[in-house]
Amino acid sequence: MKIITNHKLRLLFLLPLVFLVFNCQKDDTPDDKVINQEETIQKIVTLDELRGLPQMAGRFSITKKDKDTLTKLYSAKYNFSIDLGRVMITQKGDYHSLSFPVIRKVPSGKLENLFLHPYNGGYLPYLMRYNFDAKDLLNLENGKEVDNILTKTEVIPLEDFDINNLGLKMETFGDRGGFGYSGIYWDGNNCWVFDSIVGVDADTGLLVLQFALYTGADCKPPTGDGSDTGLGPHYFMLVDLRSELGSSGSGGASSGGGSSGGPGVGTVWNPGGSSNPGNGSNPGFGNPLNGNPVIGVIGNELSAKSANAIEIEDEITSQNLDECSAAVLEQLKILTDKDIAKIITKLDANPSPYKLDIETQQNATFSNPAITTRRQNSSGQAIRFDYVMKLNPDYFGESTPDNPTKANKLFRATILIHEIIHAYFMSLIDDVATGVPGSVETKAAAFDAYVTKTFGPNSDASAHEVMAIKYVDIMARAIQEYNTGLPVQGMPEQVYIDLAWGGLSTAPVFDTTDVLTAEDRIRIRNRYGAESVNRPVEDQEPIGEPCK
Amino acid sequence: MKYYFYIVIIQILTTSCSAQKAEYDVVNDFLNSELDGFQYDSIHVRVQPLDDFEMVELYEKAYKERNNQNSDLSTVWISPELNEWPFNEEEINDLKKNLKANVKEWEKTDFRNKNFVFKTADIVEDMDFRVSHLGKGTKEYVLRVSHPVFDNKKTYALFKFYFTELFFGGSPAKNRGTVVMKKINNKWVVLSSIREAVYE
Repeated sequence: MKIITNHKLRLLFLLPLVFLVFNCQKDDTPDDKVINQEETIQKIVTLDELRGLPQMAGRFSITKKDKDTLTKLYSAKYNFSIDLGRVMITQKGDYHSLSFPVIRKVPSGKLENLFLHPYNGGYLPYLMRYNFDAKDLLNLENGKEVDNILTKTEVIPLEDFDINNLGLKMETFGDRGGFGYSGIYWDGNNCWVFDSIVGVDADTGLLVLQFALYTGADCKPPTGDGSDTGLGPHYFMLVDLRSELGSSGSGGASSGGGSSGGPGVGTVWNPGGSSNPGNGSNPGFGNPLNGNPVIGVIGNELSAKSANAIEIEDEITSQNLDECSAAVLEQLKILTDKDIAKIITKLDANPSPYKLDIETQQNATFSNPAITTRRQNSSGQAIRFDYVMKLNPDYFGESTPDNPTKANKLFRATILIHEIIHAYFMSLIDDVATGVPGSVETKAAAFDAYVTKTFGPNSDASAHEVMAIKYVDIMARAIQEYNTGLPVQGMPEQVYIDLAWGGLSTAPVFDTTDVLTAEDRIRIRNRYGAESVNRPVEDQEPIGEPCK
Repeated sequence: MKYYFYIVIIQILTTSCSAQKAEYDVVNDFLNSELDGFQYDSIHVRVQPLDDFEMVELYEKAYKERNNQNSDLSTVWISPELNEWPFNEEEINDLKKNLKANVKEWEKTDFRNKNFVFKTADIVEDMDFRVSHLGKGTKEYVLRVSHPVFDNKKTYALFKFYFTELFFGGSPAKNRGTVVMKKINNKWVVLSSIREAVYE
């Protein structure tokens, strides 16, 4: 691989205003943002918009159903995936480039983007590797420029990178129509149709495809228009694309476009073709941005999960937690897009490690669903970075026939996320008290509530005010992903936004914010109440799964 | 003779009532200020008072840590900053020695606000009772308060205060915990409140 470090690149990076999209709130909203008042525009493009680009020539031609689940495609040669759900286009005049988040099974520890630079009617692919520290990532999150970005960036040409065949080569089954998204496959006993690409399996790195059993006598492929009959239950299978592509080379892979649209005339995905030695001598590669002084940087989900946050997640224990709540907690730890570690990282790119024990508190002396406080030593002194979340058995605990109105799983997840954020607030207090470097400047900036006396006379209220201002969205995303099992595309659904607000419904900010109307407040309280006792409250029916 | 007997009885009652009212002026002055402009449909007063000992212990802990700049109790959980500490260590000890479990329950005559309703702890803390009020669209709250204690000159007073929403339990009030009051121009005003380090 060739690493470009010439001085032209310096200029290229000095000119752009780097718009950094780091989270789904921004990522998934196709909201244009003019970052240079004269001419540079960056935005997240939808899959349809991506396919509509002339250089794409119909790539990613997938069914409507696929679009709901297909977010990642895997490159065998480079052993990473790109996220199609969060693609940034950077436009300036007639020029545009594309930035895809790069996801690796084994995190590289660095933010990486697949960068596509227009060339000869197609694109030249580059891997952009950003050596950003925690402060840089925080700046990214806040949409600020990263200092000295040039010195932190490697530009790596991707020889033989063929985006057209990412994750599409499949030979496990004999097929009747050539592999494509509309092919039919016969495994000797049954007929199958390709249903969707689920993603890359986190444990094996294999692409996970979903097929539907097809029982029609003609075994005709489904049209996708709703007229198909005979589709049986969906099945999953894993396809190791790495070995297949690795042995056959990109030439073989490039012929497999089938019905997905083909490479397109004049498209240069792989300037040298399979015969190119791929050592950087290919004249098609060079400075990817020469004459085009714009670049977009988009965060990937791995960069949004710091090592400390992972450690914090690991340190969340639940020895005295009721069985149902413990199961909810474990599920929150393994969400795809907004697990606990990512939520914490979202709050703070470099949080101090802390312990959090969650327990169901018998004979609770509080009436809230839960509280978060400090662990104390035998002398009654608070222990730094050691917290306890206490759950009220009136809400938590197991439902019984005599006492059926315990909180359902969705409410428990909502409360756990809410209190985990409180625990993080506690850690910020400890950061300042123990003199964690930079804590006053950077941590307090992240936690406005630390300057509680400027917010108001109530630390708890201040914390809730900060949550209302900053964290309702991320809470809603996590809650929705928990309940649906799917990362949130675009805005979270209203019901989950309502639940995130529900945890703030007794805080002063709930009544004073102009974000909510009187009607919103009633709906939110009823929704929150309905899930908390798992029964209808006014017109709000609980949607969470009961704890049995 | 009979006439004088009734006069004495009336005097006793009058004196008793006025003494009680004076003792609770500090609580009522506080509630007037705390609830000024606050919108509610019902406030349920828990008739069992909060624990006096816990109130004093919280004050004592804050007093000991008052000069510790690394104490988040002093930097975060006491608000506004408390510059007048009405009880020193010796006085705190005296307070603790003389505190008796105050079993007198709150009643209507103790409060100026005649809209308060009174409930026992086993009702107001009961989940079924709370659930029965869910979805009514009313703004209902629970007031829990301890009896006050005073310094010798009756210039300062402490009591514990915890005001929460009926069902969800969160506290919408400005103050919580041990409230430190001072009498200024014959009226009690809030100096500060000392909270437990708890997020709800």
